[in-house]
Amino acid sequence: MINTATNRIANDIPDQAGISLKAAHVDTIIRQQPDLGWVEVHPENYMVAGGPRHAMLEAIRENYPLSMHGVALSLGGAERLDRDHLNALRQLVDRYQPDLVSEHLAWSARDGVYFADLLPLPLNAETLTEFSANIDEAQEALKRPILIENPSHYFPLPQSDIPEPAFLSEIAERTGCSLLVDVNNIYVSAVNLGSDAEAYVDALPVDLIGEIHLAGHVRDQADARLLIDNHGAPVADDVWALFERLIARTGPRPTLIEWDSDIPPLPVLQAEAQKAQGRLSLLDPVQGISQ
Amino acid sequence: MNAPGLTAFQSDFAAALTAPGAPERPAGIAGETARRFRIHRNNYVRGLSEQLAEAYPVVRRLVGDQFFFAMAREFLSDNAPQSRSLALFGEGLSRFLRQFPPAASVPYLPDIAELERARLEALHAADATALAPMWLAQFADAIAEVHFVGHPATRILTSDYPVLEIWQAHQPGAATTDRNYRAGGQNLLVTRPDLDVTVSPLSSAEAAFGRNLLSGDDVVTAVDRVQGNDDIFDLTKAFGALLAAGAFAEIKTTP
Repeated sequence: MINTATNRIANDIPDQAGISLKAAHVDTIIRQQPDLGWVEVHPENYMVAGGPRHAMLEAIRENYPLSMHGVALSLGGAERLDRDHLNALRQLVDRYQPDLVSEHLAWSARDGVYFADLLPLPLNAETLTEFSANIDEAQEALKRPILIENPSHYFPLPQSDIPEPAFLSEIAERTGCSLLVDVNNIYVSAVNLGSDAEAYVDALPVDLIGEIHLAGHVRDQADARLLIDNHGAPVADDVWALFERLIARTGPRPTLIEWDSDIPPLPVLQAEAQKAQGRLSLLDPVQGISQ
Repeated sequence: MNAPGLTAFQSDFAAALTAPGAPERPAGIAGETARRFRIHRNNYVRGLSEQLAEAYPVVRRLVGDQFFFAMAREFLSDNAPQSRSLALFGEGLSRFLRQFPPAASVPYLPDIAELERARLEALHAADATALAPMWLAQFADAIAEVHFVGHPATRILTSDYPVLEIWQAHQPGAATTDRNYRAGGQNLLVTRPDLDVTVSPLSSAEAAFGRNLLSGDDVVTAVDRVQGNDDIFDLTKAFGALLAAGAFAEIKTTP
């Protein structure tokens, strides 16, 4: 444990809607400084020595609360964490002082090869121990607690016998991390696995939730019972309903609109964030905050 | 880490992910939804191919999407990413293309790939101020023995083809009718004095002199090695071209 439940969700990200920062929008944002609440970036995109990416992120950092959402630490890997990658991440965290740092309940590398995907992890006693140890190592290197996000699932895994909300609760208890709840991933996984998304939301430990993600998905053309988490569409109505169910329990939380493929013009992303903000603003601000 | 069950699971999963063709799913993934494993295979191959396309947009335009993505799949089977950041993914595509028979009908393709790679490396290289010509004056008499430190973004390329013109003709918005490239090869200095990558043509002698200086030669040695090539070498003009291009970051009086 490196922090308490109360401290670990205290940060400078407002309990408002934010957007993921896309290269196509950066110039406009720097020039016009629109009211965005906060922005989130993938730190891997900034693991370069110099040049325009750092110049842009410096300019963004001056004007917006910043969240760093990693995709490549492979915390769910059976191997040791990649030292070079962890060092690169630590340097970025030291340099930009993000208000939040998050990663995934997933693995993405094996034997030195990086798969550029968030791969699923069986949830059992063994992986609980492994995953917790990796979070401990990351949090010690970064000198701060991180948030862990639930991934999308497409098929059931063997040797998986702990429900995901219980697994997430347990790793938060063991490591002092908090949770980033991706509502679209809950929905996509529930449809794909034939499980109950509402029961999943109701089982989450609300006072450990530090951030929420919303995104779009697409129905597979060949397999009508399959949803693909492509981050390339507006948030679906069912996902908005699930989001409302979640924030009725948590109260307002920093909520991100993610959009990673078929990226629309900035105003479309802002309008989607406004929809989330509208729902957050309806809530009593003290509701759901743990005492 | 000591996780035998997890290790076996991930080894099987990883092997199935990267295997060309069969097996289509890892051991232990069964039932009617097992074919959904293709999503992860697709994320791996398609995701990295698109990353390669972002790094090599002109190569892609020259060969077309169908060729490019088929080629990317071949490239990936021997060049899986080692780094967790994909910002510089795609090193070695030029070398790969030189030995890829289907690409042989576009003989300048590997050199275009080399130019695009140099541009990408220059873009993400460490920031530094380019050495201004005025600094040379300080060393007026001692110039023969000084050494130059290259700007971190500087790369010098030599091609048998007019790669800069070909590259320019395949930029978005370029006129598509003017493809009468001048004949002959080209030397190019790629660097990034500020936030934008620059590409400057050099003569063969200037390129050779620049390479010698970047490899650590003092000025006298660098000139000697160029003159060994029988070129008529104008030292002042060569310095002028290299400094104007922003080739260097520093002057040192010791190696």
